[in-house]
Amino acid sequence: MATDRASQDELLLNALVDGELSPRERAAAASRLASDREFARAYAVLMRLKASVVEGAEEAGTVAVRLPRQRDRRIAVAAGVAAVLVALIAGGAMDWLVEREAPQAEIATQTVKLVSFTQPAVLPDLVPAGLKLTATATQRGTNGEVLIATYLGPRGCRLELRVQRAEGAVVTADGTDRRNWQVGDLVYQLVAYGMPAERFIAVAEAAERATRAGGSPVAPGRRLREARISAPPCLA
Amino acid sequence: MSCKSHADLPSLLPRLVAFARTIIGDADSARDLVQAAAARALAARQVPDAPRAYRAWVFKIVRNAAFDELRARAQRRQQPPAPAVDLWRYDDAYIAKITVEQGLAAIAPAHREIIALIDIGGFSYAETADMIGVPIGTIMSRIARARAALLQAIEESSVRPLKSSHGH
Repeated sequence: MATDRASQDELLLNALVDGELSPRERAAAASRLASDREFARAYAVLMRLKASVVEGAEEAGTVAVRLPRQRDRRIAVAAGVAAVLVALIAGGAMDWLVEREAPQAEIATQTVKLVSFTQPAVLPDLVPAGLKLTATATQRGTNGEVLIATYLGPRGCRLELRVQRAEGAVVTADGTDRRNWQVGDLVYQLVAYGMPAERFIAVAEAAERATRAGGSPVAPGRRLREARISAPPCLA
Repeated sequence: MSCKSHADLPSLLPRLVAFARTIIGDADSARDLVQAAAARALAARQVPDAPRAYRAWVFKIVRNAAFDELRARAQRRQQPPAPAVDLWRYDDAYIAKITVEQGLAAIAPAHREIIALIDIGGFSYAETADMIGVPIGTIMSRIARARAALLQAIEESSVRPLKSSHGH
């Protein structure tokens, strides 16, 4: 039965399990826990309850959140970073490092370092070619993690930039066109899905230049700008 | 806005999803909700710099979104009268993750919210009071009522906790 005393004890016990008591109050509560069996049992109930809630939350917390579409390029870059990190968290890798730079560059880039990479991967901003970075994810390959950045264009164009360590077999993706290059210890693979060949070459050249520049700003070039407006719609 | 301001966001996402799931009840909707909330956070022009303030700010965005979701579902229930405060008759032996999950699903959103903010979000009473806009004393009584409701829900679930031999 609830009494005023019991109600006060309930508040006290809840505050105790939540770490809300002052040192003096804690000491008094500790003394009572040692001498009052009922009080100690109720405390155990609340502690167990709180621990179970936290435990359930920790198990439920593994999640991969899709990258939202963004209007603002800077937001897209930040969101891209977030999506990569979410993917890392989902994979259990908490030790991460991300750098973003040169938002004012004509081809802005962001560098992302996965724990399994020995150097940062460069994800170029292909907005000058009409392609926006819309998602990033990691995939477990035979040779460690593969970082996958997805770029989408307004006319059904889709590109994937896949980055993985150069050691061992490189995981190859399907697609209508593909270009591989290596920068340091990383292999970059740009995969097109339905993009006309001429446009893909221009985009791939720009992407390769940006990655070889190691994140330093590079000019988009005439071919890349033309690729945005002159190419026919993508097929895929 | 700078990327640095959002540096803590990735590490908060699992807790945010758990928090949202506790309030709205299902994992898929919670993920969608947190995704939308993260986008809103990333798009915000004013972002708190201090880590704790940033954390509270992001949780508040998710909290608001969760309650919008509940309203949209038209499933919001009236907060039931607080159960009789009878903490003393419960036993901890049958409090387990599964029974707690069942219990959380059964109690009122307002009860779930206060438990989620304090236990999952890890907010202090003062921070929670500030977030919800009530005095700290109200938080103290609300968390006590919410946990009592959760214990009662656990008892009423198919897995029954043992009654204590010391029950009043």
